Amino acid sequence: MKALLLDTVSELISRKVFVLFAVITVLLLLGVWATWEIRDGLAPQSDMSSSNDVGQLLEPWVATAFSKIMSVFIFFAVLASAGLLPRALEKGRAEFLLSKPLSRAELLLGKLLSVWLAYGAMVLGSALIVYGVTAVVHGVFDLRILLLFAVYAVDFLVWVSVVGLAGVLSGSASWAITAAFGLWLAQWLLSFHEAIKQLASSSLVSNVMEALYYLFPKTDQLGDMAVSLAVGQPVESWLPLWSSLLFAAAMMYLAAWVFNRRDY
Amino acid sequence: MRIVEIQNLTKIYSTGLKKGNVVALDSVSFGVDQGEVLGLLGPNGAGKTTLVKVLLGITSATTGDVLVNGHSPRDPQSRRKVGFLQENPRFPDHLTGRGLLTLAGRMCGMDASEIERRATMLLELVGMGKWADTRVRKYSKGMTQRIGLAQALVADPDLVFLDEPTEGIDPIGKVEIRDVLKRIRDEGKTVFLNSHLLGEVEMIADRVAILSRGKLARVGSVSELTVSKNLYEIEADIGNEHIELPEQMGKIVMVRAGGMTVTLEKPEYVNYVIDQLRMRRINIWSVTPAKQSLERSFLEAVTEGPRETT
Repeated sequence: MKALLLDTVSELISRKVFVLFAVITVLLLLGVWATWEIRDGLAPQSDMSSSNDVGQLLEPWVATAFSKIMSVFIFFAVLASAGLLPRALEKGRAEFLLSKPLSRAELLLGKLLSVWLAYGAMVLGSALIVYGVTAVVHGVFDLRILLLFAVYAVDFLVWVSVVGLAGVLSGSASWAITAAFGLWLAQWLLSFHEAIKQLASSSLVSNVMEALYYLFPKTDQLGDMAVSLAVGQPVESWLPLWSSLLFAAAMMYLAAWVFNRRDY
Repeated sequence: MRIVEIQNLTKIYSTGLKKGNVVALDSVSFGVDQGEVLGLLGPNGAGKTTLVKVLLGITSATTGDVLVNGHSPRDPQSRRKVGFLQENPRFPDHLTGRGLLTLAGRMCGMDASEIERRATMLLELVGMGKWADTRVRKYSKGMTQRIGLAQALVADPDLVFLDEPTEGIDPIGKVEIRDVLKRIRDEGKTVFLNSHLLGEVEMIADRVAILSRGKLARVGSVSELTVSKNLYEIEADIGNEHIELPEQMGKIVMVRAGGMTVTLEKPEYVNYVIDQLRMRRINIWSVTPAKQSLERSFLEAVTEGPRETT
């Protein structure tokens, strides 16, 4: 696992993926600077003169903004890491990994978890820089933001597992990204499952929609949950969290099962 | 002691509903003893690479039993002290040569200081010391083969599988790689060498297995395989004597003052030749089965297919 993690970090550095994240971070910091300018413009008309009051007013807004920021970072992390597994399993390269004294499950899960840890650390690092600057600029500093990051770690794990399974099945980065997009579309549709059930005349359709809703991860709702946790509001349902975790675990198990049966 | 044991190994690749199946290996059985160098020969598509991949657990066997280091190839323990250089290798191109050896060593559970020591030694051994810190993506084919050989040896394996190790290497490089292989052999390591180059195998291998269309056509020591049962060298005072053989018995390939070489349809016809020489009072000094080149044995094996070997 350590060998695979260090290799993933080395590949991440070599491919200069951090440059992409540095650019996104700078763009977001410019956004922070812009909001400061807007806040300064609004402050004289506001009744709240103390920075603390302004901070409290901004807190839910900051949490929501960071929820979106994390989604952006994760989107790019998925794009940047989607090719890692298919590349490692290309003819001529797969033999190098598979001839080592590691089981296939160790190899695959080691690689996927390495991607999750290495790219996750880069996402977290970039988000912390943006949050640090935001905290200083807006006077908002709350450690509960770490809960938001933790929930997004589960979100990223879902995408890594889907891209991993698609990578093993297809051996292609583009198919892996397509699978991730397909999942995003499916769960977006399923977020309207109640409305679809009401519209559907058949009980079969209703039951299928209900089953799929529980089976699929709910990354959109994970975002809402992350915001609630960050601003200290009660969480309505933990279903998005545990169903997403279960989904990621199932995808990884399936990927390991397929990988174990493949000839290279 | 057997380090590799193969019993009735069959591998069938399914190529889709319309195309049917391809039998890559058909009831192959043989073994490799500890400390021996086995050369695996065969024309393209004979199943050599498939056999090595099955032994390493990279490809699964359809039927049959395989043991490597006493374990099934599915068990990672079977690869614990095993090195492998694949055919047309491609390594993680973000790594340097030294980085590749470090990754290979880490994956084999070696500690950092041991990796550093072995990597430095092996980089020099394969002539890659100068390019140790250059990224693999910038290597030529020959350099990739050399670094591949080094990564196969980094964990100081007892058993090394080499699939066309001199492919893409210039003649001087081939000699250098051959010297490395001889060194490995002299260290008592077991080497499983896949190669198209018969001369290379003849020089290094203790035993040779010849695969043809997925079947084991021959297996034996180089001297066993190159001995012809029908070709004899007869040393005698022939002088200017004219000697003929009945057509059905065979033919005289070469006659010279000090002897002759005959090809016989059956080994027992050698007695007829001896009788003819003795009738003419010609002194016979020796009658020995003649050796043929490994290339000729190989071509025979590939053309004739499997036969019982002793």
